Amino acid sequence: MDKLSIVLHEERTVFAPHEMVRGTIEWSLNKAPLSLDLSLFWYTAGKGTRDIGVAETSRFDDPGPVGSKDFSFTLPQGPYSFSGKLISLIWAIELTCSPGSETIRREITLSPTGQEIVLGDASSRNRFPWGQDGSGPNPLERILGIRK
Amino acid sequence: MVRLDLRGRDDNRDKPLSVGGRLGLLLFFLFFFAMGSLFEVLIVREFGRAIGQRLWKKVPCRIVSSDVQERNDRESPYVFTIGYQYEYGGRSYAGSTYKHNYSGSGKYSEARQLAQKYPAGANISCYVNPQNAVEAVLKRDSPLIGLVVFFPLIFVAVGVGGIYLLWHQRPAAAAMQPMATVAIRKGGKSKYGKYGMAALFALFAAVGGGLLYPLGIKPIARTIDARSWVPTPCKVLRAEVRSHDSDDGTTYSVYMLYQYEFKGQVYKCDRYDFIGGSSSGYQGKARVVEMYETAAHPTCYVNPDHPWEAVLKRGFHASLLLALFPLPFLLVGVCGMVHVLRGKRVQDNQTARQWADRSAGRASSDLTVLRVTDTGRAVLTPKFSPKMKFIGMTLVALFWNGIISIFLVGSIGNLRQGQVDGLGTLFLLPFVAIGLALIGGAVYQFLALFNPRPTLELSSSVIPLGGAAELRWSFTGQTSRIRELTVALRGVEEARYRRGTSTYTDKNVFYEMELYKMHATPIRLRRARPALSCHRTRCTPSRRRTTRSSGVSMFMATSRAGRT
Repeated sequence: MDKLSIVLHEERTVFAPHEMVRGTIEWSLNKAPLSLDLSLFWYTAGKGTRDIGVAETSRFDDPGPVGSKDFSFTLPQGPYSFSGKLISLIWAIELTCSPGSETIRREITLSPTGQEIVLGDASSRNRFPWGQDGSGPNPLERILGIRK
Repeated sequence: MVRLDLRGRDDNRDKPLSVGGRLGLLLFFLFFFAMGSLFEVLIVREFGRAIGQRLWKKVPCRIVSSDVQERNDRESPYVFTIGYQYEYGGRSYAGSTYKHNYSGSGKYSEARQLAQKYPAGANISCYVNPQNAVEAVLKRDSPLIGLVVFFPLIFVAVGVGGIYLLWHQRPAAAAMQPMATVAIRKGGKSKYGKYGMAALFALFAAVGGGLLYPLGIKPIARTIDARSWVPTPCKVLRAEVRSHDSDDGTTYSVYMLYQYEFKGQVYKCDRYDFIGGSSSGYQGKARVVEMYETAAHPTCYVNPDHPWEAVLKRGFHASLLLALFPLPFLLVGVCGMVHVLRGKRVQDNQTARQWADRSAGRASSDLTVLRVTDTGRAVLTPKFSPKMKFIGMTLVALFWNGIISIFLVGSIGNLRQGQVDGLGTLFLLPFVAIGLALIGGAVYQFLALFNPRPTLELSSSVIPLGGAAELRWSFTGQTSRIRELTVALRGVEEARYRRGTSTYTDKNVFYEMELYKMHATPIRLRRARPALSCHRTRCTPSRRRTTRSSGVSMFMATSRAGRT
């Protein structure tokens, strides 16, 4: 039976922008594929048309029916992983063998806060969070919801 | 980074079909296959006959008789009949076939044109079947039918392909489907899709352009020309409302055959007006027919240069507005081509490039790094400048009113002569109203040239979470008119999707903050610099601006999270 797997280094799935994603891909196939494609990409899920952005792709030619290989990708600045009322943006690493469509995908989170950004609803918020006295924006830690 | 816009949703498309559904689809595809095959056989047979006639021998022949005969046939009452003599292989033959499959015409004028083209006594060429010299025609079948010989094969292919897939349909795939690989493959093909769309719009433009002369320019030119035609008493020989069935329902047309005498010679003609065609509405046409049937001495207008040409209804009337029918096709085609060929590709999306341009190797979760914004300043200006809007609106107004004025002048001319066409005038009124609205729009755009106009400049077009940016603005125009100024940051989540043939966009405002607000009488602001901080995901400024009666309020920054 065909088997593909992606093992992330230290099982880590949350990354900050520009961080490096390291891991190992393993495959055990009945027939040797011509190539294996490993991609770092994001996609949207939820309502509406799906968008996909491919950040980086690696191709391994003539990998043989069984084997493993280390990989590393450097994440870009964004977009961040988020979940809104309508859609979510999900980062993932995908391994596909060619020919065929045998595929395995591992989802990761790209966020400077260490967790997926959750979009809320503006109606529940104060429209004047700074006040109208020109006192300036809130401290960054407060904006990001980080408690000292 | 490559950003690709993939159409499609996460629907359960791999659900297995029920037996009933499968049988229904089987019948559907069988019908496609059968109809496609039938038409293919018929077209191939006709094409074979046309090619065979190309091998017939061209010989001289003499026309001995040529006439238009009327018969009791509802569809094709007028038949061009001809008799001619020719010699082949030393023997003399008599022929009477104009063209294979010719079976007459619904219009007298069409049969008459043939009789005029092949008058008795003329020496012309005819084509003789060398295998059977008794068989001859004046006009051979066109081999152009070969152009559509492959068309029915599409239906055959759909039928065969559908049946094949129906019986070889794989069960619902539990396996994960590749996304990134498919996106990369599709992305490479997107430019072909772009040119495909451009070709589709070019087809629209070609159809519109091709129809513009016969349906638009020619009837209008003939209407103008017919002003000098000679009013002549005529006798109506046949008057009826003809019905035409189509997929969209039944339409009706007025058919009149009348006889008149011009310079001592008797002519027949069946032209009612120059626009021709058919339309819905039976009653109005029935009234026209009744009017001519009961008229003691109806008048027709005869072309003095070609007295066999005449018309019953001349001058400008509302029906001639149908001549504008090809214009939307032409405009949609040309505008579509320009939009598709000049539009940005999804892969060239500026935002995607900005993400990709970030230098690698700065991995850190240190919050101080997040304050760095180095994607370059972004100046927010309107997509179309006020001058462009004014020029565009003026051109559209001139074009529309230029065409409408022809009908309007004609209608006014008719009114002056005491010919009141109430229905026609009523039909014309909405077109005139649109023309006036366009003139109003052009005046509005002219006045808008002097309105205060903001230019916004953001120090960075992409602001990372927690990052900061500086916003500057300046105004041109009559800034003294500004009474209130508001700068706000708005985060909008958008999801665009198709349902049937319509495209819908759902929006959710997930963040809204007023950055700056000022009341003054009058505001003399030229430049200000509020700090701007992005609290949520990606923040991209937009050009959205609303104007209130009391002044100007700008909602300038939106955070677009998702699919636009």
